[in-house]
Amino acid sequence: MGTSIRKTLPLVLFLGLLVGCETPHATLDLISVARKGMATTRQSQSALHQEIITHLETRKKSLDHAFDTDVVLVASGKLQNSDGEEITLSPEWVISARKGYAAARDIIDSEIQSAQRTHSTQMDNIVAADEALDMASQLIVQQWDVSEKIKQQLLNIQRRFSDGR
Amino acid sequence: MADELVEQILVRATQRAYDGWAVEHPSLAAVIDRITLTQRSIEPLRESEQYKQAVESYQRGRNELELLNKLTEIAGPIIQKILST
Repeated sequence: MGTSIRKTLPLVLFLGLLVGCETPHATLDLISVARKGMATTRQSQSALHQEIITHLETRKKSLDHAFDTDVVLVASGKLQNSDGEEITLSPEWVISARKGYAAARDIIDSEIQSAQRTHSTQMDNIVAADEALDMASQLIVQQWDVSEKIKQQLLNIQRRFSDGR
Repeated sequence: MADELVEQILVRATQRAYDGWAVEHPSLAAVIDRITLTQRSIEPLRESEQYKQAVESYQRGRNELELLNKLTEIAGPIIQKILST
């Protein structure tokens, strides 16, 4: 039994040292770069989302302006229907304009809500990916710590073994 | 020319053909023609099976490493004692 330990111990020690030589710094550096990339993506996603919302809010204002412009056009008698007849500022015309205006606003409002939902999911996905990278780095550090401890124990055994000879 | 879906919504709302309505409301129609519906669908990463499995593996890996760490602490002195006798 003792002979077998003596034969295998140097091999185990060698393997332990070999595993221990693999420093995790390169991997941790890569993870750190990836996490910085995540932070940049988060910023650009926020900026893009803000642009989309601004664009949609501008569309809503354009609708308000367009409604008023059409009223002025009709009131001044400058508007004709497809038969070439002048369109008058009738209650029917106003109702028709309001229906179209309301429907268009509803479309834009639902686009804003959809953009906000998507943005929220995208932001959470970025956070989740960042958390996954953080977990990976924690695991690497923990593996490194354990392998260092094993290496240390093997060195202690080797030392004790050498002293005893 | 309005987005097809936008046009359908407008037709439903005004109960009229879009082209006829657009002639009578040219400024509104000009704005509506620039509205496009965007299909946005994005899956939450946390709800994906792959993510859940990765987190489970991480937890398992941590537990195994903690166990290995404790075993190393316990086994080291015992092996040393055996060797020294």
